[in-house]
Amino acid sequence: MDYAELFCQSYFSFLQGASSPQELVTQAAALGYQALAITDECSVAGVVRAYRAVNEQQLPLQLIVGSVFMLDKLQLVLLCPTKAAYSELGRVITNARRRSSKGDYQLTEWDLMSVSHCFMLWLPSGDQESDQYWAQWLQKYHAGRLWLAMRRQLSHNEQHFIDYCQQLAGQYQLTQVSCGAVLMHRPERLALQHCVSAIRAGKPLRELGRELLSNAERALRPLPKLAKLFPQSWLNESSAIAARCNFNLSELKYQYPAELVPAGQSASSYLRQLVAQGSKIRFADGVPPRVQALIDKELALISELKYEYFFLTIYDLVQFAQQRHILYQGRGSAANSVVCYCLQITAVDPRQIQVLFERFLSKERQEPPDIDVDFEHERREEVIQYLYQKYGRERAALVATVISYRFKSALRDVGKALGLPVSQLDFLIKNIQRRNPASSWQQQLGTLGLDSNSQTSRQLVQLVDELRGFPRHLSQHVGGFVISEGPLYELVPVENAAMADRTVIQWDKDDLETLQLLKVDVLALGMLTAIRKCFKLVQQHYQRSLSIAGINALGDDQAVYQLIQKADTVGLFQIESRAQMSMLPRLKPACYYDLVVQIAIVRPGPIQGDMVHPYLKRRNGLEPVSYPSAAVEQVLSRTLGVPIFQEQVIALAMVAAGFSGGEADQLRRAMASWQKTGELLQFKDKLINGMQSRGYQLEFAERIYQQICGFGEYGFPESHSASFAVLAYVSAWLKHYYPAAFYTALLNSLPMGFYSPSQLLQDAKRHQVVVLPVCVNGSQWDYTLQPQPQPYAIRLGLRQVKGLSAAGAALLLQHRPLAGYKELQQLRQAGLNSCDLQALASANALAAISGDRYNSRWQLLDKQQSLPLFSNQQTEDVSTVAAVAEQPAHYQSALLPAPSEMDEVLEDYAATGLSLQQHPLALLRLAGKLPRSTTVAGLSAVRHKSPVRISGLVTLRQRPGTAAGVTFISLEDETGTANVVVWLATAQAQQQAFLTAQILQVDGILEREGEVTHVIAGRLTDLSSELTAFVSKSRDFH
Amino acid sequence: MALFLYLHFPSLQLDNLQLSAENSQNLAIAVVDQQHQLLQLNQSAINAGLKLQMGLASAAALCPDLQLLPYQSEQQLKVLNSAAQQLYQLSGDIALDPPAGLILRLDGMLQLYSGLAPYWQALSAKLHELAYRYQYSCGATPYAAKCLAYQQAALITNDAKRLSAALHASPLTATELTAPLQQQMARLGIHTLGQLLALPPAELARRFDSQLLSYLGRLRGDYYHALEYVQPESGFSRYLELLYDISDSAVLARPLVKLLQQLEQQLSRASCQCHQLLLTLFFRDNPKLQLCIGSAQGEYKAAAWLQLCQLQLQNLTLPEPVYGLQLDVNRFAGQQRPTEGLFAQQQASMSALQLLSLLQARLGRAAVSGLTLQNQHLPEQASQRSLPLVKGYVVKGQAGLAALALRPAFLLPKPQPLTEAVTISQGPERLCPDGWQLGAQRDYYIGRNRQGQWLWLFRTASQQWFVHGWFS
Repeated sequence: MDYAELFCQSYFSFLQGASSPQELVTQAAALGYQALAITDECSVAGVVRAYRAVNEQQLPLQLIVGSVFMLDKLQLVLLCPTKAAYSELGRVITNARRRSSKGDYQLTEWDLMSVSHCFMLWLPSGDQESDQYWAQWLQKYHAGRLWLAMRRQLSHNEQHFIDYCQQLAGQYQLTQVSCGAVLMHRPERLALQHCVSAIRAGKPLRELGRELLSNAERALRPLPKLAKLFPQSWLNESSAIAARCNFNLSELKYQYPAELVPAGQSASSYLRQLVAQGSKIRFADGVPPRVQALIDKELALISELKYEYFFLTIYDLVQFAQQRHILYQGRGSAANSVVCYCLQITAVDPRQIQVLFERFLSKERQEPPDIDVDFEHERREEVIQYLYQKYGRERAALVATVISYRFKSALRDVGKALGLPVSQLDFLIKNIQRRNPASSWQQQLGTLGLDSNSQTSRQLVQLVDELRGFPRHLSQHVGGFVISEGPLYELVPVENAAMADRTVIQWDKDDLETLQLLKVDVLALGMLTAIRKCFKLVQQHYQRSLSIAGINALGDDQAVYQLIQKADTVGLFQIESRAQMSMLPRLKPACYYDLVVQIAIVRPGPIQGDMVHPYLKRRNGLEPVSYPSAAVEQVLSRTLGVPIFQEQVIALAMVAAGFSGGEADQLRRAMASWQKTGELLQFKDKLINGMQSRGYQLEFAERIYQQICGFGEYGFPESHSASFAVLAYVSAWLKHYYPAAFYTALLNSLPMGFYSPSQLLQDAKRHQVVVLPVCVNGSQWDYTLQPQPQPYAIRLGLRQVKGLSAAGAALLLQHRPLAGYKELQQLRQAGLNSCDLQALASANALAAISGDRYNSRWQLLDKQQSLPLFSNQQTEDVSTVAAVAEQPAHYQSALLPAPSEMDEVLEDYAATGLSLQQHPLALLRLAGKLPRSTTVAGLSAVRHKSPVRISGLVTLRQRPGTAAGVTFISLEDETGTANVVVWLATAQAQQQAFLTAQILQVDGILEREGEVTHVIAGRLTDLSSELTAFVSKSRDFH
Repeated sequence: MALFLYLHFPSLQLDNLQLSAENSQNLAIAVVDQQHQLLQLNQSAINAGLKLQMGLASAAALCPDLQLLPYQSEQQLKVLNSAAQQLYQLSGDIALDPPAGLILRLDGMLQLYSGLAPYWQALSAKLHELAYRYQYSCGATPYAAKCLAYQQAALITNDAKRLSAALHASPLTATELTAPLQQQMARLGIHTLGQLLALPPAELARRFDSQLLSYLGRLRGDYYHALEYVQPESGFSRYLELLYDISDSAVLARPLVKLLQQLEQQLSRASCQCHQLLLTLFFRDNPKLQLCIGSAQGEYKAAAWLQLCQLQLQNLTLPEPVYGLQLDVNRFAGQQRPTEGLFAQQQASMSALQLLSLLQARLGRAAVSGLTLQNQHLPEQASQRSLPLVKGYVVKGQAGLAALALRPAFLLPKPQPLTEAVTISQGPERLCPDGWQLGAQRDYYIGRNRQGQWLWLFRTASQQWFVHGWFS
């Protein structure tokens, strides 16, 4: 018997379907179905995954693309017999989705009337009036492509309904076809289907009752059962319809926008021409023959793989950025080519790094080329708008990201569906420690007060596990664009994103990869903003014109590398984190490629795969560098035999275990999703057997496999690291030569990076940069460089004043007299509201005109002064004004106390998040509140392994995924920041101080390895009460 | 000079609970408000490092086995009120200051007790007996006393200088000023009441609203602070000794009418009604007998209550003659009569609630129940006994074929095995108890037996047949 299931919803019908497209096609094939249509509601988001599963597993199953729609009481399934029908479906979905806000759709009769290729399965509602109307309407417009779909769900009164449908079919001469309206691949998913229904309804399960499915008949059912339920003719009809559906997703071809190539030229010749032009700019003294040979080789490869348009699209984008003076930098597998260097897509000089283009782009590996372009984060929107403008919304849209249930969201939603109180769920979510190696989250539920034997708790555990990985909604990819020659909906439907004026396609990047469609990544990078601002400041104040490529062309500057080796890297790109800083003095990068390694090695992947120590030992000559074979040597020689980059791992699988290009690509994807799916396991035997059969030791093979697992999703590609290293170097160079400009630019580009303004300014002061306070007469909105005092000082910007509105600041600056404001009244007249004035007073920005904070506030509070009548009088009669203004100021200052130094510091922190006065710890020390505490600077005099006491502001509590049970606490005092290591047992024994202290005193043991110093915490004491009103919050557990 | 004492009970709800629950001392217990902040802590919780106003998550991290109670303002008010009632025996003028304080006016009491010390001795003994944790202080005004009590000043004195000095040194956090206002003051460098009181009122008036000035005025005693002193509790309690012993319960109605009429008078004076009476019968040898008579609707009329009482008395066999009657009503309720339409036809007849009261009085509460429809697939859960007059699940306006499933009028409490031959006419309808028990699914059919009866049948997954009901 042949049967095709023509109505089946996957979990991309969010919170309706309870199985993945992969599960559905696999099960349908196992049951012996001839075909399966994936028909999610107004969506084709799941079809590519089904398509991939069918292809990868070579299932004997025909996949049909379709979608189900609701319009009032009309329920209709549209199926795509041809490519034209697919484009039509794309148009209908796009129109219905674009009419509605994100996640919804709104179909109109007109949409349906315009359908002329798609097949239609109609599901009557049982409402006579509506059914009669639609039967006539559908028959009028779509006769010949219309069927009446018959279901058997074993629900109550079903026979009546079947009779009713029979009668409709007779009345309108409709052919009947059986369908399952499938929501699950197996009956066992019923519990989960109930659960997602409850989540969708926003009610607990027990309240839903009759709204839930009454049985598990909406699963894929075995053929013999279907044969009992349906007349043979209806079943045969399904198979006949399937036989008429010839459309296959592989037919979708990407058409690049033709306008990129001038008339009369081919894409290939135009690219060649552009590269030739670019090479003259990049190699002013003539292209070296070796480089020219590389260029020719790369162009040949690009042409062979037909990627010219891809490079041209990116070239067009960066040309736009250049015209607008937006800083950018390309990265990714294809970006580090000489071609990209010549097209000015990247600034990575091929002479500086031994670029092997094929290392990044390879025929064998069948990966699509990947170029991400980072733009200044504050100006990326201009680039996006350029794209929309150039290609139109019909032809350009963002790639989707599927937002899936993760542990916490799954626990919260399942818990609610099972009727657990929200406060209890919040409590569980906050307190379950997923990284606790000693007990699983299921065990922790027990210790957190949920009876682990109770039914609810068992159901919770099972459902949470099942629900994890289910998609919740489509969101927009950070910057991946799809651009096409014709309307995009012919390729894939487009819907609205949450952000206004953004549209996303219904597929994510993996789907595009499966269909070999290319995307262009337009990403945002804060450091590029900072670098551009710094270039501008240097131009303005030092009259020197800089560029990324220019700084790079100066060659490796050892003075800059000395700064990096000392870990003096606060504010630098990529190498500023605690972990990076502790590695820098050990690795001692001395050239560009060292930085490439440095950036990639301090990642969870290499750390978990235990690659760091072998690399360090080999680099310091403590361990001989050896290779098991010449082939492996070729892959690993540049990293001393230790695999550090993702590309090396893939290459190893090919070289040492004999993976084909396609297999290696599957391995790469499995690595990307290893934590979620465990897909990597299936490669284990192949990898180890392959290596052993090529003569490698089992031990070596096992180690490589472990390293691949460790890499998991955290592996870092060399192609990205190479581009990041350029920016890291440029930021270090700027910090070394133009520190004041560098900090100013950085502060004006926040939020970005690891450090708060307070930490950046303290670092600036340590580099002898003078910092001036925020002032109503001296500050601009941004931080500025001031020529006084020499060499250059940083003046705090009004942007740092908490609570000051941008509009208020604009008024202040607009009306500021040349000689500055003289009294509060002028600020009021400028139009600043009382919130803005209070904010300024709190930041002590009014000190120049109304004394200290207390007095400024006292004057601001005076209602009589702010009366309009009064203020007019003041401006008219200048002589009395002076008298009036002076007298109360004198009178009031006697009334209020003067702020103490500690008050000032605390207020500074409250109002601006930083203080230029004494550090609070310095004040506490002066007041004798820190007996026997060593300063951070003083730690260098303490011997290894000796006891020490240190106190500081807690600026960071970090529990890295790589270090089980360890928390790093950063303690800041007036001399710097110290790293404290707290072991799990220590933390648990002293939870209060550990979790809540803002000022912490630590008694512990100092440990020093090379130039890295830690304090291993013993006793923790909470000193927060010494500063009761303290407001600077630490960044906890990021 | 006027003198006030303020008593602050920081953990009234929790302390009250601990009095009744044994062995609770070792457990860490906290009362939390709706924002999940800790409001009250017992000693074990304090020992674990918990602090007031702390968030629940930090609290749970510090003390994983912390027991939580939601804050119940009404209950706390009751406890506060009962504390006031008990102190009323010792001290005349007591005003409630919810949620956790009592204001006692002392100047009148000092004469009675001849001095402050004896008064405090008596009062603190009583407070000790109450066993609630408390903080206290005297003060020249209610607000002054409250402010000092909040700081646990524990001043029992009428020395004006001492009190004033203590008040001036008080931090603003101990005052009634709102948190934003306190913050505003702190941001002017003003942290104590002394600093605030030193500022010229005219300057303050130019800058702050009248609330601040009115507070300061009352604090200083410049403005009158009206207090509403508690009155002894109300209620109804009358004892009636019978002139002669009554052995027939029906005859008891006559004296009872008198009591009920008195009750009616008091209720109508207070515009109240009541839902429950407690009738106590006293015997010479046997222990007294208490009857509880309820009216679901609430009633004040003597005649109506009499009818309800008689229904209960009818069923009663007296062990021996009664010599006394006592009628108690603990709570009066406000009048809440459903407004009936002027021309409603049923004016004269009984309301559903009245009928219910009658039936319950006659048959006992347990014997009367309602039947409601539930929102469930499974037949045994689809309808259910409930409290009388409670509305169940209402089927939404689905029309035609999608409407409610066909169910028999008579459902067997427990399905019986099918023992006769039947002809199946409809089915199957497959029902699954829930997603966890696919094996327990049943296929329901409608069938007819030889006698022509319509049966509701099901077949289990193991192919066994059962009858679950009959269609009428």
